Amino acid sequence: MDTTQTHKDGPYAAPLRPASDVMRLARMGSFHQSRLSFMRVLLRRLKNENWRFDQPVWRIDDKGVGVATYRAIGPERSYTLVAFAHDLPAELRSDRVIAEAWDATFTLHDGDLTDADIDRLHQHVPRQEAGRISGAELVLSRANRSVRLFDYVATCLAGGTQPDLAEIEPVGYLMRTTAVYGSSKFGAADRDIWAERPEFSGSFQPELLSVWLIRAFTIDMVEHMARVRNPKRAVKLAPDIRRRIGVGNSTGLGMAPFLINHPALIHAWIWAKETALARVRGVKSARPNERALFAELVQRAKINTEGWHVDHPYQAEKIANLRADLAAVLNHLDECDLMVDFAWNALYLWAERSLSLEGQEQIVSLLLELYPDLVDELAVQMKADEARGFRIDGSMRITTLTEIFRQIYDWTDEIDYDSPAAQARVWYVSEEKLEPRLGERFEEPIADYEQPLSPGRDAKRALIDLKTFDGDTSIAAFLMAHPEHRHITRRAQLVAACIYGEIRDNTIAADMLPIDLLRCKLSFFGATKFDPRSDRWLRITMFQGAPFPDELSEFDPDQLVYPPLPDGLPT
Amino acid sequence: MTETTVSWSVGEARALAVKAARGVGMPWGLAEEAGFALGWLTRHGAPGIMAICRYLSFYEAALNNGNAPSSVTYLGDDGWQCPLRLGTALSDGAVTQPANFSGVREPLLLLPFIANCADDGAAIQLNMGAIEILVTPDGFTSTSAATALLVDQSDCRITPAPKTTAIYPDPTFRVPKTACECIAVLTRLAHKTYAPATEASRLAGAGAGLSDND
Repeated sequence: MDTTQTHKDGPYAAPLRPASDVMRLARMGSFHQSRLSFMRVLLRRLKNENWRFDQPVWRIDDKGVGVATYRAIGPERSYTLVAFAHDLPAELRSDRVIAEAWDATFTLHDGDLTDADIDRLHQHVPRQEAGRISGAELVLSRANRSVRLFDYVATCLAGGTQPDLAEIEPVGYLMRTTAVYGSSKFGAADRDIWAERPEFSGSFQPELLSVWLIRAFTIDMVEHMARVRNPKRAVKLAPDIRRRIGVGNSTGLGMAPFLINHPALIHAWIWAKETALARVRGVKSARPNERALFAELVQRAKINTEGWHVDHPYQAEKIANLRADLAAVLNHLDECDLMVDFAWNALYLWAERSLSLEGQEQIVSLLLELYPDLVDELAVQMKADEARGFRIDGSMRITTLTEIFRQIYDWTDEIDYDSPAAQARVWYVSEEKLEPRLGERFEEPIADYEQPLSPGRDAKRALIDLKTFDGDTSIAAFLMAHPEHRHITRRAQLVAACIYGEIRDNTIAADMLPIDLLRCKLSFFGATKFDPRSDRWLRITMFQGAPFPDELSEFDPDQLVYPPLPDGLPT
Repeated sequence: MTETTVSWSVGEARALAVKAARGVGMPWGLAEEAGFALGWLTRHGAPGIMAICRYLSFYEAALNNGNAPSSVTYLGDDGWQCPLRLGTALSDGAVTQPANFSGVREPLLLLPFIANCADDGAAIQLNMGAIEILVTPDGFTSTSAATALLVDQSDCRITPAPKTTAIYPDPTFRVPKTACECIAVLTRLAHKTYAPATEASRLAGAGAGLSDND
């Protein structure tokens, strides 16, 4: 990775933003979806490779109960989403991951399905974590209806009318998933079995293929229920309205440790995005069409913020700032000269000086939109072979490891981990449903169950013991005496080569906000409309605006991510 | 189809082994090595889950019998030796070859760590009693892998060896249904890492409300 070159035409022109700036929770908690988000990578590939889609099975009864399948047929392989629709009593409807029944349950099967497969999956998939899927399945998921919007849309369609977009936009989905499990979970195929398939290059592609097909199922379900209610008058959703319906997701602390547990992968994600930004900042002259597109995208991003409503004060303030920021950007575009050399770099530096973190990161994502040729190719690098960094280099000397700790964890110098506020939290797993939780160290008896999710504190502890050894001693000898530092030693050696692999903040501080971790990960998925419901769980929308399987060939999915300008779809 | 419906992925078995090793009191970094060993052995056609299950059960019993962690976890002790501590010491380079060790528990668990040490072109030979196993970076060759599992404790000798044309067992990509008892044991040990829930922690810890009918 090259961080030294100065501005010039072509790739790698501007310096990468330093990890000490990027990897702060407040900034990570302001990331927006971009061209490199995995949903967008998925749809680009499906379109470019002319994937076909069909629905081999639709056996849903008048109560909305039954099974449907959705098949994605690619150049080499097919995948089939199996959807089981259930009749869920309202009292059992829970977003929480610990629920035991859902409106619909899903699995993504590797290949075509037989009726025997469906029978087998019917025994397991509706039970989710309590069932077992096989090595022929890649994903396990479930979803609940947004009761109010689902009923509203079904009622409209049954009456022969289209629903009002003003009702749809604030919610943005008919169903929300409450978990999407992939990679070896509950019996699903191990990631390395399919990781080399080109269609799954990058990250989370099977999971997001499932979610995209689930979105089609939610539409089929609401149209089906409308037909059941009024077979003669019922209409289908109009394409432009249908496209504004995505899939919701409720997600909580279960997802938060992922960012800490996968440093090489997180580095790959953030490195790709930062490299893309550096390339765009290195563009010498902005062409007229690029300048016009940027101005349009700022307008559309502004419209997007207007449909983004949240109750949580933390995010509400950030959105208010973002709206003001985007207005300021529009003013700035009127005043600044984009004809000068390196105008995008100047614009970015202006944003750094003038906008909130939320606004700065929005500008980053918008800048990436302008240059598919510089950006999109980086997507294939957003993956990691995590086995490679596992083995500890025991021949490293104590002085070297000490230096790595000092460099990566220099931000801990300002933290007194003996103070209660600096170690107020404990990440632990609850006995009840085996989900990660965050507790209060000094109020609950949970410290004995602590998960290793505080690298800063652990590094500082290791440094104390490292000082008692001669600098020329090997790490192998150090770890013989101190096996308790094995975890953080492995981590330090790994992140020494992965500059964006480590969060530069205290993950057990009293004022740490888990939603910042969630937002970072979800932005890389491509989620929009972050809607925190507390400091530790939130709802999002996925694939809102995106084409459906039956219209993927007609549209460029990348053109549909931001809401259209009021006078219709942009060309 | 029955086979696939009740088998386990290697990834989930590995994750379970990490938790189980932590559950019996190993430091996280060492527990991660237990997961690594399970994954490596399984992929190379050896019964890794049985070996891990049996060792962690033994370890738990030893602790319960007052066999203090110091005698369990330190090398060169007069008693039995931990294959994970010994294995990581080998992998890290704290132990040079040739080396002799007495009383190694579940010596099959040494193989993944010896494979770490077998750089390109070289092989390493492990002798446990009468059983001889040749380890390369790509796997191990032995006609007695199944027999090796039966060895619960043995003196071991580890020596550099010339590379030969190795014959590896067939790789396996699932943990078979026959391992269900091992899964049950590891699940029980993993359970020790989970904090008992209270209603307060249910609400505060996960942060969600109770109804989602909106």
